Amino acid sequence: MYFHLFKYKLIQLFHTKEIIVWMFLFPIALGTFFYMGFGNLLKDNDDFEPIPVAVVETTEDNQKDPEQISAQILKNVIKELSKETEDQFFISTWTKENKAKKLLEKGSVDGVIYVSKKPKLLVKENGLNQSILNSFLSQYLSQAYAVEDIVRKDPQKLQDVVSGLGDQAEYNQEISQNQTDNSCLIQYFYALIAMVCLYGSIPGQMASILIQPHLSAVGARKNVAPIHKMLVILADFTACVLVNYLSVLLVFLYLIKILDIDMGSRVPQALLASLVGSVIGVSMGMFTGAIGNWSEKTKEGVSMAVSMLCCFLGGLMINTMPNIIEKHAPIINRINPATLLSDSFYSLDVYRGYERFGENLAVMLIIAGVLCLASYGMLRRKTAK
Amino acid sequence: MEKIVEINNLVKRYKDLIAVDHLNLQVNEGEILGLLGPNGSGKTTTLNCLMALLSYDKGEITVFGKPMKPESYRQKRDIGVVLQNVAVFESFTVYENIDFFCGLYISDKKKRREYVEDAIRFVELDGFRKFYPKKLSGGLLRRLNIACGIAHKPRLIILDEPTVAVDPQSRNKILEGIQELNRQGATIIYTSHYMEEVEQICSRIVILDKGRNIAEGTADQLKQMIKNSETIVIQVPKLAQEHLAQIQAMKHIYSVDYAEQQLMIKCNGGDHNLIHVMNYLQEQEIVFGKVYSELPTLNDVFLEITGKALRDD
Amino acid sequence: MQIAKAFFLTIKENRNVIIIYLSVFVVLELMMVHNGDSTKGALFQSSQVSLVVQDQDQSVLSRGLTEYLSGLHQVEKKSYSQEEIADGLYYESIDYALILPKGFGERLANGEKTKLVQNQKRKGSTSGQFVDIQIEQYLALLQSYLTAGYAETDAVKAAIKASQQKPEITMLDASAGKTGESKLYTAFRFMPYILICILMVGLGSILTCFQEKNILTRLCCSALSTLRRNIQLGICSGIFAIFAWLVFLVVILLFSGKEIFCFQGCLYLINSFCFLLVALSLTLVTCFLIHSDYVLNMVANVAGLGLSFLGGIYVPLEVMSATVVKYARLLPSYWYTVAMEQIEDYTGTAEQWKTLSSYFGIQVLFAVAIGCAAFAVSRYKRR
Repeated sequence: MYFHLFKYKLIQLFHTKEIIVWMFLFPIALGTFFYMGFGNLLKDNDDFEPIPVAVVETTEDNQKDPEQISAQILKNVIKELSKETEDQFFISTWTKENKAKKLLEKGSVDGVIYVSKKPKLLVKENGLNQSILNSFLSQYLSQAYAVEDIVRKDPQKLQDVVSGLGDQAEYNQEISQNQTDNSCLIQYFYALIAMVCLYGSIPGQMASILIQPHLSAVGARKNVAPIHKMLVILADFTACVLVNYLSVLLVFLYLIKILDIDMGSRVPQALLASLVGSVIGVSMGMFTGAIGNWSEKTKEGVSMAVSMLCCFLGGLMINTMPNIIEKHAPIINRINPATLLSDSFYSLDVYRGYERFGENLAVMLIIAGVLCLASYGMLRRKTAK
Repeated sequence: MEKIVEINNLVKRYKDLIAVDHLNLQVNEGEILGLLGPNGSGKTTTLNCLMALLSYDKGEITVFGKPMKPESYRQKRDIGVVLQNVAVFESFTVYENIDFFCGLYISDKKKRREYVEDAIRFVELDGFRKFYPKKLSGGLLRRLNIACGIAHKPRLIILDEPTVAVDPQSRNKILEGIQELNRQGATIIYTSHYMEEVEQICSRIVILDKGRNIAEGTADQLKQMIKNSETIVIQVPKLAQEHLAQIQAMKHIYSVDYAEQQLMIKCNGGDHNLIHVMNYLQEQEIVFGKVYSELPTLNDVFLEITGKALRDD
Repeated sequence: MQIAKAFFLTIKENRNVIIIYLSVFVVLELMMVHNGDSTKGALFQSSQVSLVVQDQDQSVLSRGLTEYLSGLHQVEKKSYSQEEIADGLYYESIDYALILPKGFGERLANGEKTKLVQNQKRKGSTSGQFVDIQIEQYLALLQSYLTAGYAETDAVKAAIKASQQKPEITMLDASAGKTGESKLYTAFRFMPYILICILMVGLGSILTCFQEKNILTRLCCSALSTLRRNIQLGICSGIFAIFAWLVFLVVILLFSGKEIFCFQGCLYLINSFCFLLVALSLTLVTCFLIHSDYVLNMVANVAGLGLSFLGGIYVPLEVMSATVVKYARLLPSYWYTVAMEQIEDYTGTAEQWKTLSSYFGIQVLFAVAIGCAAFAVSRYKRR
């Protein structure tokens, strides 16, 4: 009997073309849009674009003034870094002050460097390139100060110091405990998978309505049939979970194989978490479909609104939202299925062990269990009223 | 004769409205019981209570001698239901729909296949197996609805207004089919507010109004309950008052009405009322045209008992 | 105006659903505007970060580095386990963890230049990158002094002093000296997503009632022409859209206060109104094609999020690839975003006004084009 019900539920779901197509299509579409939006940033691309900068020279040719010499060195450094090589740092335009300001206003350059006794920087806004220019000049000034300081005390050491500063150095090594090399923007994809799981509430709610005699004629027929309601609910539930999980699997396949997103080596564990997520999604739909005596439209609205809110709090639109919620209302993160799911994926990525993953999975299983029991309890009692 | 269904003192309230008011009803084995009543009389509510789809406030319902509850799966196995609303899946074909619903009663695949084939043949949907419900006409859809309810060959079949919005040809087929099911041994409860159908197929009729059983019996028994046994209508261009009085005074005639060249005579009892009236008119050399004689209908029964029509025409 | 009457009766019947959706989106809008910081450069301002230093070396040089960082940031010296560091980084109680392994001082003094210290920070953290630069710079200077023969203690003091040399920085325009976008910018930034979603799910759930097969058949058989019917529906939808827009404007008003009552505020209002028209047209075309509320919800999210991501709303345009930006110009949300940027830097010049008007005009053109498509679909479906 179970397999009979299960088989026909699957047929019914796959024959509801509009819903099924969109359930499989929307995460693919969204994933593609995310990838197009910030695919560049996902792999921490080290490609550096030379910074357009205007240079205004206010040095005088006075070899005796150490500060003038220093300015001359800065000028040479900038010229060197502006050469069209692989390591080009600047695209420099040497010009007068007025023209430089106009270029800055128009946005043709990101900053104006005044090569003078005391180098200055003129910028229009606070941006990444402006910060880089600031760092460059700071570094230059610091090194120049150090060289002057050393030379004043012991001029013999000049050669050693200058060659030392010229050597390539990388004192600081970043150690990543992460399993993958992804940037924090991967959070969007985690939230997307969570959303796909929670959209299991759609088939869940549809199934719930088709079980209730006062909401559908088919529900009435099922109720007069000699089958335990538990069997009907179980068969419908498992069929919905299977269909929803298929869409999750498709998303994983698409992200990993087509978009080449690195989901780490712990994909089986992530799939397990997704399965629990699908269970939560479907049972959420069944629950909202069973509560109250509202109309079908109202129940749909409630189900969709809850899913959307959970997904938003799980970081679908602003990837740092879970962190913000953690600061102000951490309890929400503990019970929001979308956050628990994306946190599970994150913990698989960041932590070596499975403690946090296990905790999240346990909470999700509890939520799934509560929703399933509550749905069953309410559906069992539904009559035509 | 075994009582298949027994309803005692059933009461169902919806807030201030009493939908079923202390209803008593029995259905004997092998009969086709007609439940007749206007809209809002409590027919569907009674059936929903019977099918344990609806909770009720008071009373007892037994089916096959046992109390009927939502968990009465043994009894449900032998009950087939054809609901007022078409209860089929839009996303299943005709075959799949019948197979699915039959499968809720019959687990054995081989047996089920046979039953499904029988059901398709029975409702004559052979050529429509792979059609989806939205491609079927109203009549065919109703036939599918019936097939889904009777495929598992139940002992008790409940049909709730199965011929609503159905063309006459399909309607006749449905009625014939129901009679055939009865001949095959099924007990049938049939609700409708089409009295012609009920008169045609039901062996016993219960008339409901405002949730109460107001009359019960065979069609003839019900008609005998009312005064009027025959209505005669004659087209008479001219009729004097004295003639009217004389017709009124005839035996078995209790009401005479003349308007717009039509003479309407209502009789109570008597076998040859029409002949007597015709003879009189001929003797008096009164010119007359068309002549009709109507036997009372259930609508007349209902009208006389309740003071209102059975159907809102 | 029977259609209009039916429209508002349907709203009344489905008011619960509409209230639910409006409430959810008001909450989303509130949260977005409160927390939607611009992802653009905060590097420029040297802000204090929360640092953890694990000094396993305990040498003069390692303590010197810690002292240097303490002068710039909030430094915690207590011992953390790896798990605690990972937790701290994840929950942002720590921004940066620096490990000075045993032998650091000796290796630095010997002239080694690679992998002397180790760090952990959140992926993509700009403040972390800033600290990286500071550490590299300081260690380079320190090593220079050590190479020059300075004693360790003196080298530390000198390196700290040298690293305090900074260029003089001026802003071209005083008003550009702000550290981030204005409140209004933040408030209006997320409007496209909100407008598209509330109209598609809220208004859509009303419009689908009129697209139900039997109702549509009856309407087509009536004496009311398709044009008049669509005009009435369009006007009613417009009223709904404006109402929804006003609700979110109230939210923005609460957030930004009197800031909105200025010329720049008006420009933001006009920009969001132009996009409202786009969202309305998108809703109409979608509702003529799709009749299921579930599917409408999915389409709303795809359209809302898709347009927002590709249009540079959630991810700045400058970090998107050039190809994507090129094609994003075909999207109305792109023009909304560039108009926002223009308004943010608006100083009142004629050229700026001309550019801004063109951005508004493009959005309106999008709205008209999509609206025409909607009515074409409606006529096609009728046939």
